Amino acid sequence: MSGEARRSADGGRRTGRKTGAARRAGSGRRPSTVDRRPPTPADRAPAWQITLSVNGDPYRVSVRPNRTLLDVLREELGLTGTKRGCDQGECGACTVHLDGRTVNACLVLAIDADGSEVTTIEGLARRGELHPLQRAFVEEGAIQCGYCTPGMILQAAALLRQNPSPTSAQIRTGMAGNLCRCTGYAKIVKAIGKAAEVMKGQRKGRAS
Amino acid sequence: MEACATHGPSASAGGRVFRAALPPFEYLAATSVPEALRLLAKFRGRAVLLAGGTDVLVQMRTGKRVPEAVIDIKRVAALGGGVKVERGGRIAIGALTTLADIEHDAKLRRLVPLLPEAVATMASPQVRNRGTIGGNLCNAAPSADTAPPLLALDALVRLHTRKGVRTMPLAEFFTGPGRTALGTDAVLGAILVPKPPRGLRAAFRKHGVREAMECAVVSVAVAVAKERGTIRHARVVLGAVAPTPLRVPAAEALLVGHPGGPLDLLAAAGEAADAARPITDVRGSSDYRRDVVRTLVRRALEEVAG
Amino acid sequence: MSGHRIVGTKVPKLDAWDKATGAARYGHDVSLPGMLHGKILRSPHPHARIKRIDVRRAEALPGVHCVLTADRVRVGKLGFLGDHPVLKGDKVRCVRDEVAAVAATSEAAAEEACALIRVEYEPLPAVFDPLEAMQPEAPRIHENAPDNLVPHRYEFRHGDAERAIAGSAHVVQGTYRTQFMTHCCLEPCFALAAFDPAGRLTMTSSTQVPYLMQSHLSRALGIHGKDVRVLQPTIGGAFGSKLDTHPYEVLAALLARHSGRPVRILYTREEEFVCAPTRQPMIIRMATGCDREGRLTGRVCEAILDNGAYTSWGATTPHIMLVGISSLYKLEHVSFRATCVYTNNPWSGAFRGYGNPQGTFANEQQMDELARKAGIDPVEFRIRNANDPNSTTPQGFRVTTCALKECLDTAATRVGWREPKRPNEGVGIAGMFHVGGGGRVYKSDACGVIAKLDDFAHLTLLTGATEIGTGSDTAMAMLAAEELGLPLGNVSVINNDTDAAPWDVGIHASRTTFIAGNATLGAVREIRRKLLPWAAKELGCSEDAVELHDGSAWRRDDPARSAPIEKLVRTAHFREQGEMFVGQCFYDPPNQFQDPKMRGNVSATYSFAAHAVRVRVDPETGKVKILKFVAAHDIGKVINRLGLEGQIEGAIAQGIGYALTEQLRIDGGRVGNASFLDYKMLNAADLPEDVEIHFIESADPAGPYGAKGVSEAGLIPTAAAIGNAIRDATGVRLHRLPMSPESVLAAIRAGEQEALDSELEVTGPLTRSGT
Repeated sequence: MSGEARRSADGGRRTGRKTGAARRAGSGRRPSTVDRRPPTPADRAPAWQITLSVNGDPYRVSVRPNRTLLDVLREELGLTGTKRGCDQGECGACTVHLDGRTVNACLVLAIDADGSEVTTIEGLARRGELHPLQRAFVEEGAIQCGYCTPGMILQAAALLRQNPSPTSAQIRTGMAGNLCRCTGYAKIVKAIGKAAEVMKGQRKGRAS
Repeated sequence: MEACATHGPSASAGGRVFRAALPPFEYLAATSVPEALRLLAKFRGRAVLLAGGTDVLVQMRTGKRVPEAVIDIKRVAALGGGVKVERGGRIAIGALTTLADIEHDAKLRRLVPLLPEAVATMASPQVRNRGTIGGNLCNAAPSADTAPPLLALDALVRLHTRKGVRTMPLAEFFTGPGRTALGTDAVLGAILVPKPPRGLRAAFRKHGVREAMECAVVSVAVAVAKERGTIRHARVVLGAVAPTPLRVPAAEALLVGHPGGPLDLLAAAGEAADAARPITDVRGSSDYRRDVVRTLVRRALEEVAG
Repeated sequence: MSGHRIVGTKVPKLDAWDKATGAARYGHDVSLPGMLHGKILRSPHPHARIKRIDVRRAEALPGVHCVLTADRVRVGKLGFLGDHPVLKGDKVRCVRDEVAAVAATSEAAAEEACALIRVEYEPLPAVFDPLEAMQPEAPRIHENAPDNLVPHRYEFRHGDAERAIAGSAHVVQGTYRTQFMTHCCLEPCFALAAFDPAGRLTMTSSTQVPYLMQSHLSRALGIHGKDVRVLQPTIGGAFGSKLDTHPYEVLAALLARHSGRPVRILYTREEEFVCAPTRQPMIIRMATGCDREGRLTGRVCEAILDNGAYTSWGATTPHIMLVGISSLYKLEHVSFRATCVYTNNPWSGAFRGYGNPQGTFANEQQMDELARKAGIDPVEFRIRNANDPNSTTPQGFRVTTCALKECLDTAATRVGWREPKRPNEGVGIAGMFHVGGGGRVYKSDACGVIAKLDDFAHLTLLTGATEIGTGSDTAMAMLAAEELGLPLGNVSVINNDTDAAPWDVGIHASRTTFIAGNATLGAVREIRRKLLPWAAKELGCSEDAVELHDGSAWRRDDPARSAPIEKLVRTAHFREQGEMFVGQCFYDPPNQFQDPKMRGNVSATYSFAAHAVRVRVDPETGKVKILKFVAAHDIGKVINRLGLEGQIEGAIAQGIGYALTEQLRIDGGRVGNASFLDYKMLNAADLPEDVEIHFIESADPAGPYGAKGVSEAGLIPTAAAIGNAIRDATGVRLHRLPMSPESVLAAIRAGEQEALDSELEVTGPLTRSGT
């Protein structure tokens, strides 16, 4: 049974965009068999090896089962741009892209991200060039204390991918999972609308 | 005078520490239904199934659940499968289908828009990307937003047990707050939505303080089919006002056979308010919830039966 | 626009790029080699005697370095009145109370160790309602505070308010109750403490008062202030919550001292909800009168504040609460008394607006009601009573610039005050008065700035003025750039290290742009004075003929002649007996510390605003939808339009939450909704799309380029404006915050019942007359 219970490289539903190589590399081998002693304090629980791609870079990390993707990004990989706000999926500060979809990194077990592709705020700018959303947030004054900003921008990026020309109301609903205490959201909504325009222009530019 | 002694534990507990870390647990990834069932049997109630994790991990973090083991069923193919329309028009939804996939599914939006509409009001886009319909039902919160629409659509659930597969009405699935007919040794496989009666019109209403990221203070799903101006089929279901999502047959009975005029609707709404057994908590008082039930049921019925 | 090149434009925050890319380092992002993790064990009881604490099992846990309890450390007390022990030894007075603290190699080990500490408590009778706490038979929370009264009184009398009210044509009186609100900083609290081998403490903190924190820590830890250095990383929200030095910060230092290792304490979100300060609930009894012409005659106000178990700086909020009550409108007779009462609730602190939102909720609803009684339009009624420029208010506030009438007029016009309304719609308006030129709540209201211009014309501003997200850094940089004719990109601000930057009293009272802005101008004007002779020499003209802009010095009479500023600096550096360009200023505004009778011109100028709102109320669920929101603010002068709008928009959002949804539910001293799910802070989908902001530039002579403080103003009148709009829509007046759907519906139902009752009353006499 231990063999079956292992997270097998090809047993997942996660087909789609993943490359086979990445998934094989991240097969989540655990160090001991399934049948083992009762749970131990976290510090002594056996670690799993996982592999994940973050912002295009491959990482192999050893994690205990109770560690979240957020823990790994911040504490193991030093990617502190992803913020811890509530650890309960209620504030959106830890929003990242996991295989192309936004998730609260605090609600994803690190083991569960094995073999995945993750994009964090550090991976949004390309070769030093800010993403149109980053630029719009800066220019429109959508940032005050800034703690919500990385999660906001990543959620907005997913929103615009799904709906390149959202109305204000659609932006507001799409951003409802990201709390901001400083701005009252007005400038955030405006910045996302502006970035949508810019990105449409860029696509047109590329198409012509 | 309200000043009163508080009688809590004294010597046994040193006090309160706010824990940042998830409690330790054993992680097991099942790849098949039989394996998931074996693992469940092995841990005899001390394991929890993990699908999207958006409820389970929060419950573990807040200490509401402290399982020995977490059995990840995300990769059990038999529990997935997305949304399929079977021959005969019944819709089968794999338990692992994410809320986001339901929200955006073209077939559901065409055939039973009530469900995707209700799902769109749930939590945040991030949570809907991760959370599953099976998870929402198995979590069995009285306020679960998928339950009233599915009950209004007479949905069934397919359960996998060690004795085999069995199907039961969703109405029998909920047995109490956080409790279901699954017990500790079965897995929810799929949700089955029968082909809706001809001309069915349905509506979902949710009341909360906020427009989004909101747990229902009251939710209501109604479904009505009329023939030649007379209601022939009616469903009235309430959420967040009883230990389980609540169908109100008495209200339905007041509608069937009637044209659905204002007085019919008022009477049904009154019946629904009487049937509600809400608690008082930080989200609302019992009286307020009952009052809102009356309004929401009437408004939902006005939309579909008026 | 008076020829300014930078001031008055829209400028991104200096730190926006770092924040947009994830590069900004917040407290939670900072760790040190060898750092231990600290955790706090807190009381399970709102009031109990501690009989015994056993930490043996905790200490035996692998990874645990240090377990502290009150009897193991010598530590001073905190708080405005010094009534707050850092570790509680004899008894606990609320569920926040710190009973023990642990430092361990991991957070999990520290948590585990806390769980292994055994404490024997003897629960004591507790009291949670301030009115009950004041009764002689109530349990006593602090031995030296009879009737649980905080030993600090607030009383103000001007004229004879009681008599004035008695002689009024119309009087409105009522009792208003406000709730516990909490700051919800997106970054939970943290503290990181490290001692160097010589015993000097470096405290990394998101404090709003770094220099006061030095002395707080010095007193608490018994070390000299010179041995305390405070570093501030990027701060993830403050709003007043970090105006006090908190026990967890001292505990981080104590754990670091006892373990010999750096120690970091991070709050969880739940801990933040339970243990971070709140806006104090108030019970406000108020009466206001006016004469037949609608001129205010007098006002009497008594406020009871739920202080909670200990006294923070929040206990001084009556000072600022009173400013709106006494001075928003012309009043001849005012009487005010505020009493802070200890309860076994979590203690209250400072929060944006500092008592003024509570007071204004009462005061501006009374204005509305009074206008109705007097049969005068509420806008007209307010304009009739509005303060005028160059007047003195009963507290001795010298109002210099004042555009309240313009604010009221703009807000009313833009919201469509006289336009027809649909069923269940209503409009409401409220004004506000607040400190706008600093606020001398400490003996000092000063800020220091040192400016230095290098030989590439890069200007560094060194200042103690803290940036908590408001954009004060950017405003300072803009003022400096404008004054020296430099591009904004040439200016940076260093303000995160008490070792490096000069003193500031702290960021509060909407003071930083005004005070630090003036200090900045003082410092860069000194540089300008030093620079002009070099420019004049280079350009061959008199100093009067030199202009500085676009990074160069120009001859006013010959635009072809110019010299880059950096070249002038290099010229001055690279020569014998050269000169450096450093300027400094310690700006202390011309305002006064109030006397014990609450008189004195507490601010160098005052801000005014009016908010008008159009709402629709669902008469069957009580839900209030805001259809349009208009804010008109007398801000003196726009420095950074982008930042200014952001301050108002953000404050309005907090004000709407305060008005309609937010409430920390504290029952029996315990927080019942310690999560974002149930606290009901508003998200993007909840807030109105149609928000208009208008700035009225009254050009204050004391302000930097005429600017006044603004950061709190947007919150202050919001709840009252919404309350007035609900009254207009439904006919019922709510006296309690938040005006949640449930409470609005209850009021509507009660109003219906009252209407029914009064109908019956009318029929009563008719029947009698018939017999």
